[in-house]
Amino acid sequence: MKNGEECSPQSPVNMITHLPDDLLLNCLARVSRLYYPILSLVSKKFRSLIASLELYQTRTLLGHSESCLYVYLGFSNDSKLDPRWFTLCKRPTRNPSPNPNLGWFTPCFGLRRILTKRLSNNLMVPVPTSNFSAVYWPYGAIGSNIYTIVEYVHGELSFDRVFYLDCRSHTWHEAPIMWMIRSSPLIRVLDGKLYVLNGFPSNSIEIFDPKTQLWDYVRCPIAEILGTRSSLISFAIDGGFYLYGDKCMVYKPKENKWDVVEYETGLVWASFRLSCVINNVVYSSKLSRVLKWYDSEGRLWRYLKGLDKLPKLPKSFSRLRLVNYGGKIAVLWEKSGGVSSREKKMIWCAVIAVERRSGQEIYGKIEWCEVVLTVPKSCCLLEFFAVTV
Amino acid sequence: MSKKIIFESSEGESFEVDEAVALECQTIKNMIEDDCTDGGIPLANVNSATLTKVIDYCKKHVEAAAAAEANAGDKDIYGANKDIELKTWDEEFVKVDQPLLFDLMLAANFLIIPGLLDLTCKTMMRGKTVLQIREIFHIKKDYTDAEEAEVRKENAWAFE
Repeated sequence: MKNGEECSPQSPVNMITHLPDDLLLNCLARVSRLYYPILSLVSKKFRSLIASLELYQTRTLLGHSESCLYVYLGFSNDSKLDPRWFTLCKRPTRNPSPNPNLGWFTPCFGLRRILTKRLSNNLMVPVPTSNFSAVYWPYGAIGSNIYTIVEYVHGELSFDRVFYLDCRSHTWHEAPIMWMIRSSPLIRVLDGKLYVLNGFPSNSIEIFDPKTQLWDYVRCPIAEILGTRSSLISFAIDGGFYLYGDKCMVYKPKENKWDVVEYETGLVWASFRLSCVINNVVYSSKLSRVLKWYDSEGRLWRYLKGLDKLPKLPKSFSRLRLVNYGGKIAVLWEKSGGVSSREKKMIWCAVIAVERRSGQEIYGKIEWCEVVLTVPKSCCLLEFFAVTV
Repeated sequence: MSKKIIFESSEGESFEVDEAVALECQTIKNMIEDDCTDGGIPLANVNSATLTKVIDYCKKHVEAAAAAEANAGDKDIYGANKDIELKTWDEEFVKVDQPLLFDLMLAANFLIIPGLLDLTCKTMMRGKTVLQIREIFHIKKDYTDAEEAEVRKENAWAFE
């Protein structure tokens, strides 16, 4: 292979051109996943290595797994909802380059563009997912996968098929089929397993373990819990799968039994997408403009301290999402573009580390807070996940 | 007096090191265990400049391990400091030009020095532009114009 460059005879060029893939994988595995979209611009080989499972095996082996954020946005395309996936990526602007005109991208494509405005370091970039013609709503993330039960696959109605997006390779796969057909299921993730309930009248919960790829089920006293109600509130926290109806019960897989519990309003917030659970503490904005946490001992909500610099959050169920991002809070929210850009809106994201200083005090530290994406005003925020890759 | 091992670089230069230092290299350790180190170990794909650095690295880490052991009783107090000191030393150690860093990585891979391999691999891509990475790894742009346009389109965000 000719490089078009003169190499001195001492240069180990032969070794370099024969650089074994495992050594390249060793280098890539030590780079944060946030830089992978950019590194795939280097060459086809880089691109294929970055999409390979070997890379992720190397990362696991080296203990370099990390949490990654994914957002599912609904764009309107000819008045049809056109949902798309985006993932967080880092723009290395602070990189000391010998030539200030050579940024990350300009050299590759001969573009010379001087950046005039201040750019965010963190960006949500489109995820190139393989073609998957299905109507679905993603329900939960386990490990490196985002799970969904599809409604239609290739034009056919299908409620019992579970698919998952493998966030390492960005490809869709089908999980083994469930035992019962479920319509509008209630799905929660508990201890790395998928809990699926519904398709009334049903008296069981199906549980999928991604490790064994097997479905199991447990009996569920659904009629007793529902009572006179037609719907249930469900959430998973502290090793328990909770169902609140006329009666409140929890299923603890370790004890393999159902127990009646007291109705606790604070915990109900754990069932909403504008809340997240970290170390069994529920964090939420609770439709206010600031973040709070639920003190389950005092049974009251307390303000998360130290967040004076956090912008005001939207008081809305649809414009805000929280996830547990490897033990930190990741908040995602949308904000109108203001007078200057009426047709646009901004997607903001903040990552907040939390520290419990006493039984009654939790402090938040903003690691970063930026606009990560600008979208048309018609775009809506659907789901937000943190996966481990 | 500890046993000495002799390395021979690709230029034929000899380097005498303590056995303890040589044992940092898994490959050499295996050779020592197999008792085939008499008359020196020729390292045909490691040049003198790289070998000097590799030996420096191994020496430092042997010394640090010995110091840590000696202070084992006081580990609670000093252990953390020692780690920081060694980390700082490592950071300084890899502040070398790219070709040497590349050679160090290859040597660490060949000699099987896990710590050095980790250090060099970690440093290799840090803060580099796409162009710099192509230079370091001697990669020729292999996207065709059409593919390049496609990649550009897919990554339009990067050009904003």
